[in-house]
Amino acid sequence: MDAVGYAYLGAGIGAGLVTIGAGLGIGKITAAAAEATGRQPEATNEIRTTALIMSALIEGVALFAAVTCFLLQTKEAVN
Amino acid sequence: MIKNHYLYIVVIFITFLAIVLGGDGHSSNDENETHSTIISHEILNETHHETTHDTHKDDTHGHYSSVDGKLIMQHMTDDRIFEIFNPLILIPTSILPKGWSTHPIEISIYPENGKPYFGINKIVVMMWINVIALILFFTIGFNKKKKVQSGFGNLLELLIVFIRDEVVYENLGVKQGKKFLPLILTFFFFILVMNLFGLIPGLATPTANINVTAALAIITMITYILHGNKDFWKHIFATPGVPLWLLPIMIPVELLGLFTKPFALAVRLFANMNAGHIVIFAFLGIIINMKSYWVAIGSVPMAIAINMLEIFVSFLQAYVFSLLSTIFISIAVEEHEAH
Repeated sequence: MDAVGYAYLGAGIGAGLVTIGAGLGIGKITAAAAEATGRQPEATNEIRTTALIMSALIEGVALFAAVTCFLLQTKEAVN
Repeated sequence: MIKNHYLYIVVIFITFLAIVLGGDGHSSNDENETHSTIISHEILNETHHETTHDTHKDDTHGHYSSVDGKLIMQHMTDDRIFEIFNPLILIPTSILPKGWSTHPIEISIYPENGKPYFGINKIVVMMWINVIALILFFTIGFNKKKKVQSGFGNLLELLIVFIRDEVVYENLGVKQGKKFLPLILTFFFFILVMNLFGLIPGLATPTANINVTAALAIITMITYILHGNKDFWKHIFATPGVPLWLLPIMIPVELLGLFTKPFALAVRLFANMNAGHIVIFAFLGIIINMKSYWVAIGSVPMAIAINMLEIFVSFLQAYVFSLLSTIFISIAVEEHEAH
């Protein structure tokens, strides 16, 4: 397999690994948010806001890596 | 620090303009031009074309016969053409009279050798349209005669009060919040309108271009550098509680931290906006790849669902950008810290 194949392989595997990281992170936040809402239902609005903001931040980091993987399979990077 | 805020606005506007009008530096004459609604011309392509993998260099404006990753990348980075939704591209080429093209106005703004060129492209025109739309929303929506707004003004007031109370006054305090409230509101509404209008088929998303998001993030960076406190600079250059021999390492790290925060803002907005469009693209491209119309039964509802998610993501990303800008500015201007 030559360098071009490795580039595409790297892009694909990278994108998959990024999804694992993002899924784990957001899952942990959601678990904590659900439990906190169960303990104190009056605070559900603030918990929901916090969970949403933190999920957006984690997704930002995951999309960094997605953009990097995307750049790996452009014409300029592969050739 | 700068007393006259109008001068400040002029500086920011010029910076914004300069960065946003800058070209990508693509040498774009070897590739063919792509359309912003690639689906319609793919279907146009199917009716009279046998499948070849080459792109044509004639003036039938580039027909592609298969959707692959290169196409998506070209579409993402290609904003050469001044082309908002052009209904002429829906006309099949077979019934088009000879010598008539589907692009009567072709503004070629990129020179042959691909040097960066300050020009007007699709993204800039789209931003102008969005600015006009925003001005119209606010001037028509605001009813001067009523004390309590109703209708569209009610919705705008909901968003404005939310940003003012939960984002700006919460993090900056009332006194300093009044100074930065116009900026944060502008960020929120401008990014929101740019994101939402990009979901309409045929229009473009300016925030899906790294130049635009970088310009917005640079505005934030200039704001908090210009309004930085003495405490703020002291934290960067002489972090309290750090021994003297550690300072040569700490100062570059802190200076780098000054730049990574706007960079993260820019890339977060850019990547979120592009990701949604790429997923919609991929779902609708499956129909063309499989070369059969029956795939559309499963593919189009998925694309609609992702579109709904994208509406939510546009609101969320506008809110996150405004919130993080406010937090960065609040770090720079906070006073009376007890050390």
